[in-house]
Amino acid sequence: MCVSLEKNKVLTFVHEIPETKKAIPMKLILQLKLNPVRQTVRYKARLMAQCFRQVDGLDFTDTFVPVASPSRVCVVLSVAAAKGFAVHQMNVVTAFLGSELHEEVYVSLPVGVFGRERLACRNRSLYGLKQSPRCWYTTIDNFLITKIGFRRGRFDCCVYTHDN
Amino acid sequence: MLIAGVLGEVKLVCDKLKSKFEMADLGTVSHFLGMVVSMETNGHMISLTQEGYIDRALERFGMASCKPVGTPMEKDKTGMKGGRDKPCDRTLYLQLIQSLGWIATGTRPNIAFTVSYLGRFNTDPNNRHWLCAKRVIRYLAGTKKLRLSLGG
Repeated sequence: MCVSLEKNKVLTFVHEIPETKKAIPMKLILQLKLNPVRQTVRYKARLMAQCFRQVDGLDFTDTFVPVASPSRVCVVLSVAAAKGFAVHQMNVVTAFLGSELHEEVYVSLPVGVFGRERLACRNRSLYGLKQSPRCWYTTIDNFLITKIGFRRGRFDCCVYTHDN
Repeated sequence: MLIAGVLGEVKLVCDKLKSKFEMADLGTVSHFLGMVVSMETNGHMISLTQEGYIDRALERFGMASCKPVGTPMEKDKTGMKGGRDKPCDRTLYLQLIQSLGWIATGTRPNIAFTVSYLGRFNTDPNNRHWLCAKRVIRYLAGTKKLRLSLGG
């Protein structure tokens, strides 16, 4: 199985799933990872859930999530430039695999990978689920506010400020 | 994600994030959302370009070897509402307008008017609108090196 899935302990094998639920099939997505100047730096494989097989109300409820817009990025950078701030960039590795999932979700591996086993998500979201971006936002929002003491921007939910 | 602040405090926040999530530290920002971000005069001026994106857009719409023009729109072109012309490929038109919109909101506010004006014909674009939209990208072809400077 995928290394990142194993490391984050996302999935666990189950013998049977509740009758009301259906396992969502997964698919292995292969992709070329490009660097900013469009050169191939990596061959990437990611096991994704097929979100179009999810049923509203059963496998997911809310899927909306705020996204940073380029104009907000400009605003933040302008402030940074005016005040002479250092601007640091970070990326969360496999963000979705580390975010909390509240729904009970079952998936099945693609045929040929392992056979027809059924797996359950252990409160961790997966790439390809409809609610995953929202799960990630809730997780990082919660962490920034309660653990570091940021305040969510009133004008944009993706801009956080800190008093110090 | 971007973190802006006094150097020591940025480090503090980074460390806290690293303790909870597995993070890739990319250092001082250089590329964000496909924009090239460069710091000048000791961080008191930040400039943004989308040169790569413009290049790709030119290629995608078959305009890689087009003749650049000096303005995004012809004078007195705003009366395009009425009149008839043969319809153009709407899907392609929408794709072009969306690409231009992304460039306008990111680094090139100077084409924002033209793009939003052309967007009014999204439901039923004809050849004249298509030519006008191509003119915007020809303008970008000639001025793709322009940068949006913040601060300074």
